[in-house]
Amino acid sequence: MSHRILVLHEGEITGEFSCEEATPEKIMLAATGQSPMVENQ
Amino acid sequence: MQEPRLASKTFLEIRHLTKTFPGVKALDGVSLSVQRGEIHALCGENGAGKSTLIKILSGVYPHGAYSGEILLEGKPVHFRNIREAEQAGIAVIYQELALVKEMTIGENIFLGQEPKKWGLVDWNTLYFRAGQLLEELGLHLNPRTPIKNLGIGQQQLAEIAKALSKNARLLILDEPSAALTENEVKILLRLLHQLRERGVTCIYISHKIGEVLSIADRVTVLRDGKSVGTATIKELDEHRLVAMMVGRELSDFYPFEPSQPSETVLEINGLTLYEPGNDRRVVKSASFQIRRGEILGISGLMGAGRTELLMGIFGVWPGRREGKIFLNNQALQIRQPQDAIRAGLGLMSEDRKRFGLVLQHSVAKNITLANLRKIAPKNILDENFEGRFSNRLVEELGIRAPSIHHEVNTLSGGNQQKVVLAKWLLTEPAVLFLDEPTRGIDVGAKFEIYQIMNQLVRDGVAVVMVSSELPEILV
Repeated sequence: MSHRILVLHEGEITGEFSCEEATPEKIMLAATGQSPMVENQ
Repeated sequence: MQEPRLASKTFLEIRHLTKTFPGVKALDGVSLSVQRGEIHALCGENGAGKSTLIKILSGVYPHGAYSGEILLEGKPVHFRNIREAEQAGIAVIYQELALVKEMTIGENIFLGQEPKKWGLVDWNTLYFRAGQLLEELGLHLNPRTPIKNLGIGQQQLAEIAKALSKNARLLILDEPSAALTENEVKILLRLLHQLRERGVTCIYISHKIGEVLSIADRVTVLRDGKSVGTATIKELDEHRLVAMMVGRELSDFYPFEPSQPSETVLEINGLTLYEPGNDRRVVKSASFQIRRGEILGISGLMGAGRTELLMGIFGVWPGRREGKIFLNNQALQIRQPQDAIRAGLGLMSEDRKRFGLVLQHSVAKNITLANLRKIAPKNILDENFEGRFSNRLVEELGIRAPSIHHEVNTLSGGNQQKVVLAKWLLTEPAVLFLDEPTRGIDVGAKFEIYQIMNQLVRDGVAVVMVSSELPEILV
């Protein structure tokens, strides 16, 4: 339903996706804190 | 080849059941057969006829109050009351439990059928047998524990034990998992599988698709008082089951509308929330923008801080808070919910019964609750205004209530949720935060809520939706 998606993990925003680029895998990775965004920090 | 275990015999057969209330056909020629020992799920939206069917089966609506036939093990039955249905081995476990809270588990199990010795209750036997029964069911509960000390899930299990003590052969569970935790649902499901082994037949009423698919052997779907059909679990998946329930395909079920979001309406900058009384951070320096005309989905696991984030923005977080919030590039000071509401924010809480509604109040009172100024122009509540605004929203959102003067208590979950939405729409928010907006409501009402969200976006509102259901966020 969303046009844009934010993902939170332990109080931190670990992912932001447009509805075109979002997949369940990407969201789950971000939700479990394994997304590249976290590693880069 | 081995004979399939469940194909043995029809336990219950219902033929052409019709029940009419003034102006409504609640059941319209429903036929259904349930095999001995099977778990037969009954699905359908609110108003589909599930509870009417159960009330006929359990003798609440006596023989003569409906037309059609009920056959138990091939013999026609005509229950005149609940007791006769119980004697035939039919037990219903309702959502609202019927246990006496002040009494122990054992007392409740044997209530009205206490083992007696010389005219007195034989407590030793009572607790011994209650203990045995609980053990058989794999429930590690002390029969001397008062019911009030149990969680809602354990109470439900105790009620099942009670039904089985009456030699129930057909157990009807009415939305058993509505209020249970995940772990309690697991225990309940294990218990039902165990009962199936013992030849107890079970009718399981639920609108939780996942649960139905993981537990039932077969599913019958009711819609508008008619049977849409019965299918084995192998023939079904989530899509097909939902399609049967709502009468349309799942792709139409999430009515996603593309949108061209425009300017940023709300900007959150470095929002950090601390647990009350200590330094643990539950939200860590969150920065993001919310745009006019978009639905922003917020995903994450349990405890990721989603609800807290919304509370922090809305001024209801009880602990320390840092960070800035800008509305249309203007810094906002939100110290309490009134500040947020005045600035044009709305927050629909995930727990509508605790935070969203005053259950004993009318539909009209609840709708106008966050906007008393509008209906009390001279600080005196004008009931004409109250009625006019409420009726308009009831109509716009399709809230099904007998009248705006009815208590919200009496409405279905989906309609209660729409009342909360109506309350916020009346404040004409620029940004509406929805926390788990479709939790615990049936698929038809979900669809309507999605449509309302789309309408809001079309009107230029920014919608922020926290959801644990990934398809709801993604599709």
